[in-house]
Amino acid sequence: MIRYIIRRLFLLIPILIGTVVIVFTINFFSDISPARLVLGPTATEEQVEAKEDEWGLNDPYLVQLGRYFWRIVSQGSLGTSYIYNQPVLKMIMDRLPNTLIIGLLAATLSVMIGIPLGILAAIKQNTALDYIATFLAILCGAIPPFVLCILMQLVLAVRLHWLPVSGIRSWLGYIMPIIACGVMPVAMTCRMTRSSMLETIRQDYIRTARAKGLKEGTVIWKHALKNALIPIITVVGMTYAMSLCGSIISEAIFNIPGLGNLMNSSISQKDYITNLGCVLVAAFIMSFVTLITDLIYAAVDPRIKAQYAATGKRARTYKRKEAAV
Amino acid sequence: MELLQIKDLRIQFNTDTGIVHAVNGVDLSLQEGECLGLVGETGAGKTTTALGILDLIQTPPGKIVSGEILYKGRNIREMKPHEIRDLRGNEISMIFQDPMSALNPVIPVGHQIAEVIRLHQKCSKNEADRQMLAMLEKVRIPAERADEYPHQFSGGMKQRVVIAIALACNPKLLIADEPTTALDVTIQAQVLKMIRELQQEIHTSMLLITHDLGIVAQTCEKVAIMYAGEIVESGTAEDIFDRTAHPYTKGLFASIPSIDRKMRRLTPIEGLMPDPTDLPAGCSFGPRCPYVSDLCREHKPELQEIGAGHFCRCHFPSQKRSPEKEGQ
Amino acid sequence: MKRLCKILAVILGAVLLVGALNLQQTKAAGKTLYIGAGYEAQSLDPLVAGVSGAGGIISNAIYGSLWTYTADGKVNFEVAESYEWMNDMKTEIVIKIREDAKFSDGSDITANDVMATFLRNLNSGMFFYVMSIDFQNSTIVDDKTLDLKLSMPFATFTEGLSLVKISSAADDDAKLAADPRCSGAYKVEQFGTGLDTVLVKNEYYYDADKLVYDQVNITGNGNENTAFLNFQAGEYDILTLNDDKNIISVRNGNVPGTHIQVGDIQDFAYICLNTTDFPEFADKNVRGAIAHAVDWETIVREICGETVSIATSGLLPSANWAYKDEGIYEYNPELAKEMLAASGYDAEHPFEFSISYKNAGFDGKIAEAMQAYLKEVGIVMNLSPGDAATVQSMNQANQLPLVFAEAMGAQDPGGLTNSRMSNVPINSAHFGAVDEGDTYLQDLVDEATVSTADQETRTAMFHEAQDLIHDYYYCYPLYEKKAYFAAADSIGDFSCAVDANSGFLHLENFKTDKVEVQ
Repeated sequence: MIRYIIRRLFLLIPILIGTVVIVFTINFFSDISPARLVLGPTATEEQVEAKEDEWGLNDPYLVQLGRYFWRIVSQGSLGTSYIYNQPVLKMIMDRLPNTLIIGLLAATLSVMIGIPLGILAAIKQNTALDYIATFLAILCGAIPPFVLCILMQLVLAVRLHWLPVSGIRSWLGYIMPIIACGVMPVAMTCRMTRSSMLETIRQDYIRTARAKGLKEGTVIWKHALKNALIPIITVVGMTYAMSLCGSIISEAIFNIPGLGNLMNSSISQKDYITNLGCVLVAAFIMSFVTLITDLIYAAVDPRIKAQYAATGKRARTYKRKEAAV
Repeated sequence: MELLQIKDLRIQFNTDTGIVHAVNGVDLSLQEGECLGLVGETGAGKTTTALGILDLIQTPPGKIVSGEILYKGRNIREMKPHEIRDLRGNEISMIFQDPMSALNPVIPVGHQIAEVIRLHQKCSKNEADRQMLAMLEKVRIPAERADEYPHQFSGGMKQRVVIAIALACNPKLLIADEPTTALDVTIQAQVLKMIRELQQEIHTSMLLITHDLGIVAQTCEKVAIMYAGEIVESGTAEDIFDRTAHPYTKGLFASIPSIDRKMRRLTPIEGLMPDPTDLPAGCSFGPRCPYVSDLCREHKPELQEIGAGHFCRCHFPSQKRSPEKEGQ
Repeated sequence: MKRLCKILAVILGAVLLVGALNLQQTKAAGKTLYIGAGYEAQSLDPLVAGVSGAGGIISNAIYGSLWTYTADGKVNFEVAESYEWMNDMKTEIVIKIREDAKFSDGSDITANDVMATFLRNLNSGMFFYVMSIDFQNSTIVDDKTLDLKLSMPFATFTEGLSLVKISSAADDDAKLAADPRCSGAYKVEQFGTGLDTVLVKNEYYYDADKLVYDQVNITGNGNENTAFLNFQAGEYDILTLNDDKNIISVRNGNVPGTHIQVGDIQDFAYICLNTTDFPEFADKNVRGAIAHAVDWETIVREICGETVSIATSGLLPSANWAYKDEGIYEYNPELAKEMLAASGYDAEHPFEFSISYKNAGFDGKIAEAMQAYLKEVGIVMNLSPGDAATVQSMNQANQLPLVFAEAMGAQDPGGLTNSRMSNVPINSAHFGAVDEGDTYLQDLVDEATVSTADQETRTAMFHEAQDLIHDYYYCYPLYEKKAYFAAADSIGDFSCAVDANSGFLHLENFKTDKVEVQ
């Protein structure tokens, strides 16, 4: 198992490298030069060139790419922002906590609402409760996020003055972004829970559990849910991964200084290096959450745990046998 | 007093294609310490009857329409849910057909056994574990394997775990639904032997559901033959084997290939079991019966006592000759 | 599973409890002004903060210039107390800095600081006025006196210096970005990601006792709609946005308790032609035909509505000099057809060209309206709208014959004494020749740029230049966008003097008694 974890951690590296290369290449072929944007429309060609040279933007593709990676490895630095003249890593780290808080709370709330809702819908299948729960779930999934954001702003902030329109000066400011980020995952989690539970409670071992005389609640929560969890964990893992990377839309509308907002503004301001840094961090978060999800699979289902432990050792033994032959 | 008495049990399933009459008036009785074999083809309604005893029928499609299920004189159908739960696993246990899927794959087997002990004995975890290990020993599974998961066991061992769960609380009645069907023959013998031993050790009555007449001969004192949701013949094992009365039972015996005789072809019972959504008006077996008459087609036969404790649901029961002598 | 749920619920409860203990910040007591803007300020460095959004407002508040100009062109000394030209050629100027000019940490503002600021501007390439300074020969006479020598005369040198924000020589880039010494009326108390920028009175400011507001809170919003909603919710006393539509709707009575203030001209929109790369446009008849074929006034009125006023001056394409009531070209399709015929274009051989433009704002609608008018007289203009970035690159690559352009700045009613001016030496290439082989216009403009003559003479030269440009149809003026500010009634009436160059809210007004808090 430890071997599996270590192997997965090493796998992170090519993923991150690949992501950086792709985004870097896209930015590389863009025509707009950040130097011109910073110096203004009245700058001369020579000045623009000079600035570009200073930032190393006129170097060949591989040189720039190599320099970027070397800088990460040797200095632990993600470069300096063209627009703001601050270290990219510092800018990201300043903003990351805000995104993480909102993402964490949104994902957790959505899971806490979505799973019970889905279980309810499953055990009361085809009754009014099922229809209501399913309806609510689909409603959550169908509302476009930005519409929800703006509606909430108009009603809760401007009309009722219950919450601030934007910003996270006080804890009240977190409420609307969390709702906005959490609504869609409720839909996905609920639907997935429902279908997975429906499948699970038809299994024979549930009948065995009932035949033992266990209370229905124990049967559902202890026996059924644990087996239904695998696809649910997939959805929950995705939810956490996406939420922790930050919702660009809600961060823009609610003016949250977070990772999503930085990614957004760095693209429109052609601040390529910040953009690259943001993407790298986001890719790391996503890969890491995926790894955690895979480990949770192993914790929940011993068959998967056995699978993880078996790979590698078995493969090597097999190859040795093959070679011997 | 009988341990278990089922009177006129009727169970239906409401499906999109019609109402499935799965169990149509089953009468059974079982004494303490006895073993009753319930025999029949696939689809006869045996499992449904068994599930009905413990109120394990899936209620949205299924429904126990009428009948009494008397356990120690009390009607289970009138009991409150928590009273029935007290019975399950405790006084009445059930072993299911397919051991591969009967165990929860994500919970260690020892835990699954201890669970039922803790639930009904209301003892501490350590006590439950102690009893669980004793149970494992009885079913001859090494104690070290208590923390392993079902997928790490073979089919036969899994079935032994299931047996351990069922017998952990020393139940009075064990319902075994084709416990060996999914296993190969050598294991079958082992498992049966084990069930029998345990049953005798704990003085458990058993309702053994099977389609294998050989097992019935080995294990059961009483036998009931089921067809299309009805008991068509019941009595002691001798009654059924030596004094076969119902044409269906005769057909069953006739279809068993014999080692002694040279046979080119097997002799099955012609036809199929009737569609449970559309049962014939008269005798259910009529369409397949070689002795069928107009009376059979029009009037449903009642269960008649044709000998001491030997019942048959036929207008023309034949009890004088055994199927081998019939020769066909 | 149940245990997990319980743990999660406990965590959630704990977080909510902790949060509840930090109650929402109430508005500060005392005289605080709350300003909302689009675009968060990312840096306090005057070269980075820019002139728009929150950055510009903050910059204007915390940094002083040597001097500024009022809307009617009068000099208003700030950090400097006087300047004097030492020769008629206007190539040497002595600047004296105020004795009591200090930074927010109490240190004096010295000539060294001013010189360092010039050098910083020079290196950044942002403000070209300083390019005409001959740094080798310029000297620092003493702590409060500078003797600058110019490498060549530059007509609007002093106007240009009004844009330069004086910062401390001791502050490096990093410090300037986050925690600078402030030379202006206010200093920074709080600045950072996700926080409001809080400015408090700079007690070392020479006019500190005249400041009406003790504290100014500035919040930048990345999203303009959010900024507007905040204003509606009462979070801001003043709202300044790049998008005027929201502020106009305040005037229309959508938000009770607020009024809007109109500032001076913010943006000047015009159409200019690239005669160098597109020789067909070198033909004066063609340019004239386009000018007279389109009813500019109607187009602007209908499309732009009340947020703009019709442009009243011609404009040198690469300079932002204002002025003169040339007015928009007369709508005369007959004349247009005559001019086309004179150059040999008619129904069988129409004049045809393609343009690209940013499909946002007014540009798209104006282009389409133009197309219809031009069609009437037999000119075919093919449209291919695109996004701003693409259009900009095409323009930089000189691939567009006709460009929708904008210039920022306030109008200069006095004529050429102020800062709305070119940041580059005039790019003559954009002029083309007035007549083939004739570089009269070019020479005229070049001369006017460096002229050291008195204001009247210089003004006359520029008028002449602009007359020529008008007569030769080098650009089509469109409209002038006014600057709008939404303000809460409770902060009283104030004159919205707009920063001379940027057109954005200049906090200078709030220093004086003009602002009354009711």
